[in-house]
Amino acid sequence: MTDSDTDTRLSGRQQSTAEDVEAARETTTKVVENVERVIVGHREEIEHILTALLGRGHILLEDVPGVGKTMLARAVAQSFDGAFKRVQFTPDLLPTDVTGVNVYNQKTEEFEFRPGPVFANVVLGDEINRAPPKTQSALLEAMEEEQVSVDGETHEVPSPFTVIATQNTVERDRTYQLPMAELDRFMKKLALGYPKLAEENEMLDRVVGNHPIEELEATVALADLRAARETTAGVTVEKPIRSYVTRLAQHTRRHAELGASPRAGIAALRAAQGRAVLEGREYVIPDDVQTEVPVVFPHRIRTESAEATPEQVVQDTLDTVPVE
Amino acid sequence: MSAPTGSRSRSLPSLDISAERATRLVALSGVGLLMASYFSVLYYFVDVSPTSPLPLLAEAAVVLGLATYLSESLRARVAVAASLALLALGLTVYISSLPRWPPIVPLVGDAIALATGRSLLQLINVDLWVLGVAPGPLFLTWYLGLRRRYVSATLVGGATLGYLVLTTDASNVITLLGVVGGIVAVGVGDVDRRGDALAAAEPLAVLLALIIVVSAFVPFVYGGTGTAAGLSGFQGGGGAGTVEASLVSAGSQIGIQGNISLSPEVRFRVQSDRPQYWRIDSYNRYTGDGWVRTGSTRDYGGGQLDAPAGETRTLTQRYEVVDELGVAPAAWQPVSLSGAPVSAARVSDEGGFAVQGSLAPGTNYTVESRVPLADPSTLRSAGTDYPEAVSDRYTTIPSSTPDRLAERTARITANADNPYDTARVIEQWLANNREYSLDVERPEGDIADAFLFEMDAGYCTYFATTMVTMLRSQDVPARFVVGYTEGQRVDRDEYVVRGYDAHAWVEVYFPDVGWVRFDPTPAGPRQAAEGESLAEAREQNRTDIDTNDSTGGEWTPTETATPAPLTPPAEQGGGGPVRTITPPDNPVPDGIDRTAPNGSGPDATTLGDVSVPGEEGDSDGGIDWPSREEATLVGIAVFGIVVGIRRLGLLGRVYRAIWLRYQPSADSETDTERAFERLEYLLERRYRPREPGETPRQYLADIGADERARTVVAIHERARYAGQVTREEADEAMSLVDELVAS
Amino acid sequence: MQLTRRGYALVAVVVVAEVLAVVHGARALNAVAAPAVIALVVGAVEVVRVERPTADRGAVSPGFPGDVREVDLAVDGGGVATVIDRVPDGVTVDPATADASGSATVEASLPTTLTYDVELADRGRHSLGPVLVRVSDVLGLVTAEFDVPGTATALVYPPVYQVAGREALLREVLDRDAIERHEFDEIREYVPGDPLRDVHWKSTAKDPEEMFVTEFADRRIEDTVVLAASSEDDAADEMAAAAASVAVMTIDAGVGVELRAPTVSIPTGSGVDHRDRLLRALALTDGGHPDPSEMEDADVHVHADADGVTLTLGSRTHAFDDLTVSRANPLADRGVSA
Repeated sequence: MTDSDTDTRLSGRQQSTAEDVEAARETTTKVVENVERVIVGHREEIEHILTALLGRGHILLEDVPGVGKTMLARAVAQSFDGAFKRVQFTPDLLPTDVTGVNVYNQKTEEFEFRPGPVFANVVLGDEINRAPPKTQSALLEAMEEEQVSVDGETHEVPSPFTVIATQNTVERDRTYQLPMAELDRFMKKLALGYPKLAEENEMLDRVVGNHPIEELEATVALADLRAARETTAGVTVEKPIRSYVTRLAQHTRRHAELGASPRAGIAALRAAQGRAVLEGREYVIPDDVQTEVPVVFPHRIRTESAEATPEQVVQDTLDTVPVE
Repeated sequence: MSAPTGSRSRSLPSLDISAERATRLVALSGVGLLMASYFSVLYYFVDVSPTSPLPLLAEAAVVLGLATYLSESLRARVAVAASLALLALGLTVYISSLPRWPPIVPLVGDAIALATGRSLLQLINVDLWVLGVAPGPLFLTWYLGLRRRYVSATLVGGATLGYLVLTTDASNVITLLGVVGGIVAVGVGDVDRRGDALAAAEPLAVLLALIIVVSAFVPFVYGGTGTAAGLSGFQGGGGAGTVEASLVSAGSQIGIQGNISLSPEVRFRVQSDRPQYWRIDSYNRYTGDGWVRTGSTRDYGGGQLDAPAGETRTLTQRYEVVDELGVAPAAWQPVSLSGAPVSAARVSDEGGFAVQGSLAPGTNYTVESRVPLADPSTLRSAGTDYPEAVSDRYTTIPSSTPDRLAERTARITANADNPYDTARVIEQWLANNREYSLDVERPEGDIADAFLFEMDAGYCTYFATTMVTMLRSQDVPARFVVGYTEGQRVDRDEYVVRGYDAHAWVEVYFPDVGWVRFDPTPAGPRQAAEGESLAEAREQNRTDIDTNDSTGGEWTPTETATPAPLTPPAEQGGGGPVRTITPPDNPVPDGIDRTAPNGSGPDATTLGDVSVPGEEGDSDGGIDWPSREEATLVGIAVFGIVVGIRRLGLLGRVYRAIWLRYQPSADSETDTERAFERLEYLLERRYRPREPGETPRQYLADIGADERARTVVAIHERARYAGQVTREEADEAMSLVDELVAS
Repeated sequence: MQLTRRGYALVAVVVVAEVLAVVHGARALNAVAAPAVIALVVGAVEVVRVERPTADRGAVSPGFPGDVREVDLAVDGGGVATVIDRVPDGVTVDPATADASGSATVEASLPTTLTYDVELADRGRHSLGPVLVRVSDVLGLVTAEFDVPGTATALVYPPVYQVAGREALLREVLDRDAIERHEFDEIREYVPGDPLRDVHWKSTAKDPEEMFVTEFADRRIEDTVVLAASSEDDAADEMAAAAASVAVMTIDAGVGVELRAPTVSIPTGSGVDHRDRLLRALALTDGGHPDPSEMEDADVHVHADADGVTLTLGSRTHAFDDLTVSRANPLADRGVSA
């Protein structure tokens, strides 16, 4: 991965102005705060989801069932008046169950396209590691290309579009672990832990009666979020930052069996751009990179388990590689 | 992939090849320096001997060329064997050139004995020895150096130099140069074999500077001196402070000292019909800064020694030792010795007696001597048909002696047409044109040349050395003699001899006569100095300076005694040939006595103030130039010090201090960058350096920096990560940093 | 801190010089002793003051016996050092890059990098390092040794051979599946896109308007195989090699594999990543037997002992050697080196 790789992907846009960024920041913050009315105590993760959304990335959530993943995804979508769909992946799920299918309408005597659940702004794919590989790749194609092809026709997914996928870590039996090539397509991997005691209590408090999610309303418009995404893509990334990310990736490649790929570097830069917007800056600074890399890199890194874990490798990398 | 690779941290990729060569070159020059140091000693031997140095130089060139040519093809074992063979061959040739072929065991014993501190200059045919011994070590050292076996090369060269150190022939300066060469060879050799850049050898330069400076002033070895002292190339034995010690106890070699003193202790008494110089022995080889007696001593074993050719008078002397004596004085030319020391007596190649061990106080012995008798006319007509043995042994001076000495001597003696007059002219000239002084600064370089052209005064060693050298430059056989003058006459035929009577004079050879004494030292001042020393000692009530009968002055005969004609009639009125003492009622100093009254005859040569126009006062105007060797050492030391200063980063620190306080203005981006660097440096000194993985924001937060620092960082952030910074912002950053620096 | 041979020699020189000076006079021995003493002192100071070196290793990717890996090690510090890396049994240093004692060494001024090649040899996990750094002064008189921590693991997979019997295996698996398929099935309406194979003709024939398909309860588009491995008599390596060969062949056929080895189990999976997981497990497993309960429903059983290796497929047992087509690593042909 060279600087020019990142260059072509990220440049070619207008540089965003301070005003644009300020507007985007406001939009994003409103969403975050809105979601917090429903979700207790996961501010960091909410921010990460939003910055991924801004940076055109997708999230892998790894966690135990029942801590509110669905709630979270739904709250995010509802906050900007977006469509939310949930797909439960099972071993027999077909690709068309995800993408949608052409159905013959006997009345009109034509084939109609019935969009699958992937056609939403926020798609929650639950337990995607249980699905067969063909179905997984249908989802991944949608994530990558932002379009699906059914019977030779392509249909674009809506904008903004983000997939929040989960892997079930509890049942280890008879699951298909996601291959590294596919893990690499998720910008970030987050873990929602069990809430702290106080938070859990508060959560239960809230659930008594009507769940707040039912009453959650949108605080920003869909168009605002689209604009924010555009603005994010125009955030300035100067050469020192690109070089820093490259050096971080190189260091992980040296110290792990499989290190961060060039795609990881691009993802890190995009996430950093989102983070810069959240901080209200029209340019990326190393601190943004350092905030994002711990969730962008580790799931793409494979270590010989006797040594350090991927998280340790990433932490060591951040400590060792000079910032400059 | 070939051998494990190490990457060099500071190599210049494009210059790699020449950088490697440079390293190897430096390592080889270290080897070369070591070789040069021991070679210079060998060269000195040849210089001092009658042979020209050319054969040695040619031999060295051939050997080095051979080693270079064969360095790639020859295997190490073969090279070692060849060097040993060369050495053996050379020694064999040398031994076969000796007049007497000694058996092996004493030979080896001699070699070891030399290593106990006896100069190789004593060797007969030392020039042949050098020619035989030089090739082996030279070949092997250079071969090993070219093969990159630097430690082995240093060992071989070091062993050679070491042997020369043990024989006292290598001076402090030369040895230090050789050691420096060895250190460079080993240290830079390691760098070369590792393939590192030459810069890795920088600590070596600092080490060498330290070594040179410290060893110049601090003795590390018992009885040693720093290199800066004792720069004499000729070690004459330690701690000589008196004339006597410098001459009498010198053994077979004499080093010429600087300041010196007189000791008034009584040494022995002599009973003799006539006063003589009580001679110890002579020296035949002049080295430029000292005298060596070559050859060996043999057991005396009693009986008669050879007498001189020509007319002689027999003189019997009875000696009584008063203070322990390591020598057996005897008037020239001694033919037999009897008494207690006979069994321990030895005879040298110069014809003098020596004793094994020393003679205890109270020892008595008797010597029978044949004193050559010849009047001036006989001596003048003696001719120049010298036996080969004599001219070989007594007419050579070192090739490095400046030509001007011979030229000046020729001018001074222009009017003398025979050796006798030549000798007398020189003797007079020196006595009249040089002052007597014990307070002398030992000159650098050739003693005789210095005394003739640069010095104003000296003591007997200087006078005698110069006269012998001047005579030899005119091909007149002459030698340097050491012993005692006649001492204090306490009775008609009794003399008390003290330490300060130790003296050096000259003997000149005349065919069919033998060796005749000359003494160029002005006697008056000498006797005056001796008298002073005695008076002082008497004031101090010292007990060892007088015998029962010596407290008075010189013995004078009573009126009843008729003074015997001590001088043959022919001696009167002219320059007396034989150095006999005139009657005591004319206690005239020796030297002046022989001055003929001006204009008394054709043999009164132009004496006295022989001033040759343009040549008086030839000294260098008092500048003491350091020798080449010393200059080299100083140069290396200075280089090392400079490197050391650089490595300590002192210069860098000074530069940084300035850079911190003053920032010239360029464009806004560069200015902001520099301001940030200054801030980082400042915070590093005040708190701690920033960790590699720490962002500036994290760093500031962690050290708790103040608002101004944060502002500067924010401005720098804009410049670096946003790519835009205004002139005002840059100025603000600079002035904030200025404030912080000042606070 | 200790003296080298050179250092001791120099001390001897000083002693001899001092003795000779006392016995026979100082002569120029000061010019020999002084530099020697100063060099020793300065060297000792240099070595004492040197900073402790640090080492940074590159990871070594796993491979098969015979694969060559480059090991690189960056050592940081000051001074001149000999860097010796400890190479474990189980990998061999390429002789061209080793020194006399067979270890990987470089002599250079720090910072420096040591790179050398190793050939992976024995199955298992082998630790490279820690590295021994011997720092010396500029003349090589005094050294100080440092054991710098930091290891890299070289994981060596068991060798993989080409195995015949792919057809038999697949048939076996499909047959078994065929039996299982018919339980727990449901019938539902046809939706365009359902494979015609699944059409339930019985029901469809009965209904003039609708078509019906079988909804298989536990339908796996990809079939899987349970592979069990056991060994006795120190034949763990043979067991692992045979199991690995079968696993690779099976994965290659597109079939999922679940591994039950004596000390490690890997749940079902397929694809390249899963293959690597299986190889890693087989690299690490010891010999012995898995839990008997786990061996019961194994489709394929590999067993190794002093008499050789056997492979049991359903009810039929073969000698593994008979099934081995070639000892060449099938993955090597595709340029796969893990």
